[in-house]
Amino acid sequence: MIEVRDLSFAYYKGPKVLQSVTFRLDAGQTLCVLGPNGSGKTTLLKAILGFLPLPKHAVFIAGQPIETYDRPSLARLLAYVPQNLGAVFGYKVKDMVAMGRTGRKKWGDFDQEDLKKARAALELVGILSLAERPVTELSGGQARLTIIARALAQDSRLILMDEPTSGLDLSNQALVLSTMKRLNAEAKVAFLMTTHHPEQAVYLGGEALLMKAGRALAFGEARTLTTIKAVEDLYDLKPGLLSQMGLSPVCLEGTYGD
Amino acid sequence: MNRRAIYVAALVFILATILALPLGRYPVTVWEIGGALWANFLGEPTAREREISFLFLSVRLPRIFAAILVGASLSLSGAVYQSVFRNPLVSPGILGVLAGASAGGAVGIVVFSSWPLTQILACAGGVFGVTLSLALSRLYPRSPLLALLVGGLVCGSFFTAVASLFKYVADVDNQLPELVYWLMGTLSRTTGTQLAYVAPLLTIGVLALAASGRTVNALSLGEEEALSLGVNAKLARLKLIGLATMVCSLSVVLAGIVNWVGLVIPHVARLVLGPNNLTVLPASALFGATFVLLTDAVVRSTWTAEFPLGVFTAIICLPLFAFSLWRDWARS
Repeated sequence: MIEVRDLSFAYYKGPKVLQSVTFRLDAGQTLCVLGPNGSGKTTLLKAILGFLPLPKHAVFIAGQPIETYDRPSLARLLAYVPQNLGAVFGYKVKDMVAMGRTGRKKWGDFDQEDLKKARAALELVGILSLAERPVTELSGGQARLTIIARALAQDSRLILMDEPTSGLDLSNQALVLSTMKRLNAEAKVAFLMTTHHPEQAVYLGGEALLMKAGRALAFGEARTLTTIKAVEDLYDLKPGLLSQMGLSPVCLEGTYGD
Repeated sequence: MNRRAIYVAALVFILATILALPLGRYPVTVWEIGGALWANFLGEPTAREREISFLFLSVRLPRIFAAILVGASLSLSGAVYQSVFRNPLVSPGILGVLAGASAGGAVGIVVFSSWPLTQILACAGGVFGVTLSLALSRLYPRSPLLALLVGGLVCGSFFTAVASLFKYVADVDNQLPELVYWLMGTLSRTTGTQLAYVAPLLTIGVLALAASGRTVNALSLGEEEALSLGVNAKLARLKLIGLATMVCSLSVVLAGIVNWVGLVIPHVARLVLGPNNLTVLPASALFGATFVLLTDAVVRSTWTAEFPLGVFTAIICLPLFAFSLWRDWARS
């Protein structure tokens, strides 16, 4: 589904934010990109979404270089869930979700099929009861679920999320992550997300990519990759600190429930 | 799209047009207008019927068409600017488009005395106005919303000064009164010829903008979200700003500066119908057309000396704007 080959990138004439990153994610798999602030996680996400001017043949989506896609075609394969809802105006939740169909239309209003897809997405995420609410009046967790529903309405095969639990309290984190896990299990929706929390990668299962200073340190199964040693090295923690705090990625596995 | 709301707005607009037909300094009824046109068509009109037909076709109908186009353009472009710039407080007036277009138009009137050139210069002035406002706003990236407003105000003052300079050098007997009255906003000098030049482009621009709700919705979420939804954000934004600036500038050619319509009417449309641009854009066009049509009908029929349209819209729009802000606050 996604293949990143020896990707390096720098903003303008600044230092390299990504350095020779290589990994491959197959269809249906979930991937968590872990790493400290400034490690290049968000830049990697933006590169895969086609937001950045990249060197040719560095990112492949469904077997084709990303530069060969136009925006509507790319939107059919990849959907994006940003950290915060970008709405300045108080669109109704159902209208916001229907916007996921934007790239599939050339002219005019959404048709019945689009509205049916939007409703199905709201049902699948479990927020149909919020359909008439303005998005500006939602809690942080509800807002993230609304953008996930919009991504589902987009009919894309992979949803990319930038720190989906950032700024949320524990119950909203649990709401978002358990919904993601359910969607992956039941609807075969794949996620690629950046996070600061190794336990989230373990909870969601799938793969993990550890990044530091723009480089991919390790890529593999999340459960085996996120050892205490690996997490301490990744975040430059004093050895033994996690254990002293009574924390480990695996012991936090049950945090979000099912 | 809320089709029912659009049908109701269209019905109100049609009724307003019928109401505006007989209003003016020469009082005639709708039936008299209909009878005179029919008699002209049959080829046996009386002198009064000939007079009414002439008055209707040469003066009132162009003016009514112009009011509809000016109202729809200003209101629609205001709604588009507010969503594309993600700032509910911007408008053609605040972004410096109207002032830029009026400065361009003033150059056309005073220096060249050429109608097509005035039109081109007004458009160029409008584009220059919005470009300068955007450039100024980039100088203060820490608060882009505020920077755009201040940039627009500074830019508007600059172009008002340019227009004043041309007022100063204009011929006192002929050009100056025309320029001053035009800059205050008026439809009293709209002729069929002017309309024939401007109406086709304005109509195409208004229809294209009114049909762009889906793209405008996506752009209102920010560039990255718009891209991820399948919209080529930079190109779409450029096209929409260009189109909105063109229709505003052409409206200045027809009516001078009609202030506040582009700011207030989109707020009223959102207050009544919610923020979804699939409904708000066509509704703003209909609301704006109805508003300017009725306001112009009042200014041309109430006083013996005609009141400038731009002054009257500013007086009405202030309480409307205050009310829409208060309602918005009360709701939240």
